[in-house]
Amino acid sequence: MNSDPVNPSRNVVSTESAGGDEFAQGLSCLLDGELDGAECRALVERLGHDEHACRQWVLLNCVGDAMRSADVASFHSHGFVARVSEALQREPTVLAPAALPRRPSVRRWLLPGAGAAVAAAVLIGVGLPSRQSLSPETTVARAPAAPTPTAVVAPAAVIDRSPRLERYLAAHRELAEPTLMPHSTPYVRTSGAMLLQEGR
Amino acid sequence: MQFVRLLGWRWITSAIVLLAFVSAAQSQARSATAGGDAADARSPEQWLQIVQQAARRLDYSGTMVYQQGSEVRMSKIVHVFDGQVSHERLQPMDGRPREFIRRADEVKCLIPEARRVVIERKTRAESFPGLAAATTAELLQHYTVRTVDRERVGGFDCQVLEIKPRQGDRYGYRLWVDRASGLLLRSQTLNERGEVLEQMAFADVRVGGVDREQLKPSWPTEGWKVDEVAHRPVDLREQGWRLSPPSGFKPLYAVRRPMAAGQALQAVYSDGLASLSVFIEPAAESSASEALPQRGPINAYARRLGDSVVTVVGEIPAETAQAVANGAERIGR
Repeated sequence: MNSDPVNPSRNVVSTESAGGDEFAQGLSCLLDGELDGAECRALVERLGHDEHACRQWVLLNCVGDAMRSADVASFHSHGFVARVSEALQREPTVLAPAALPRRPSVRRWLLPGAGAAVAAAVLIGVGLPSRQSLSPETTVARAPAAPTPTAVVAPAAVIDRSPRLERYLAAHRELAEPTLMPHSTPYVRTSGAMLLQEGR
Repeated sequence: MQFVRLLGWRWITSAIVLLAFVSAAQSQARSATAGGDAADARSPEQWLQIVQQAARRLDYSGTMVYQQGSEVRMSKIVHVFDGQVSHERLQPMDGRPREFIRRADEVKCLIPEARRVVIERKTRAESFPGLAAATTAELLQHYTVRTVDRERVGGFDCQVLEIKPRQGDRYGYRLWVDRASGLLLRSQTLNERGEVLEQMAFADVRVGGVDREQLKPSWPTEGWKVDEVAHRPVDLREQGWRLSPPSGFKPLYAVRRPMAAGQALQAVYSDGLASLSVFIEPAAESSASEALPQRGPINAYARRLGDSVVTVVGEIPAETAQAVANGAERIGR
């Protein structure tokens, strides 16, 4: 693991010959919105023509999503990664997150092990039994040396969903009482969503 | 339900008309005897009371269509009133298979792929007989209700009710009520510009003659794991909190409950039409004050307040959600 996860080296981005680990660090900084314009451009440029880099980028995103929510993670599958990689290569310009708001940095503890460790964490994350209650360390400890494929969750209809909002809505519907419609109508509204208790 | 999304709401509406056409003759026969003149004499308040009663006391079954933005979902619903309490079974027809079976204040959520039943039970600090007619008068302090048109919906002769908020802190509604049975057949939630934020409608409905067998779960649940969501009633003041929902929103519940990140306080308020929940949780390091993404009429706002996060979620405008969150106060214990 990174010996200094809080302050990963920044100058790796411009080095074309940078090792995979350093490159992964750069990606992490990119995701966390910590790079300046020039650094961003350099990374995005490399993502535009480097297939391996693209896959790494997508995996990192999967890991982040998996850490934040098993529901979001369930959208990801092996096919998803491949498709997104393809799409990324066709349209490298979509990768300009310079203006992204700062997100909780769930990735850095993973870096720069990258490669198999990241893939293992993704596989674990997809089937993550509980969300925030599981600490990153626990996940790493449970990562198998040779990840085995897990059952791919059938992708739900992809619409604009915030897993966080879904959780609150699930809790809200338990106690909200419609007066004019049948009592179960709040469940109609959230029926496509998870149950709050799912996965606990 | 992908096909529904592809075909769109227009198609659904046609389907609704077709589906319900069968029951049209039956409905007309009923309205000739039960509806008619008596229905004409009803005041808007009486209409609201009749709708409330009908939702609780009638036996009915049908398919409910929910639309929000480009999203359409259908659910089968069965409702039976046994003279004491009501029973309901709701089967969402899209997404992962689920079933919600309600008896009075207890809902069993069936998750077949996990072979689990999750029981959600409402535990009131003290029992009171639901939101009865009393709130209709209170409701009118915050909304104006008018009977507007008579329209045929799905073959039923419906009275259209227009409900407008007196102030901009909540949404308006448009309701289509079966003049014969009093059952709400279609409901729209509207913003201040009259745009439909959300719509629920019966695609087909049958009033009366519901077979009790329809209330039973679709899957044998023997051997399934049963979990219960533990809600413990709490006194918010004793917990050191004072909340200020908009006027007319009365407290329904205040509980300590499990949430994804641990224990939380949840307080639920309703003005008779809209409801909102306030969640109070320990803050994470990254917690900030921010609005959550809007979904139809649902708005949510999270506010960081010291070492806590106060999140307001409900069928209320964004400004109201934020105002309620900002109105939350820590008080001395």
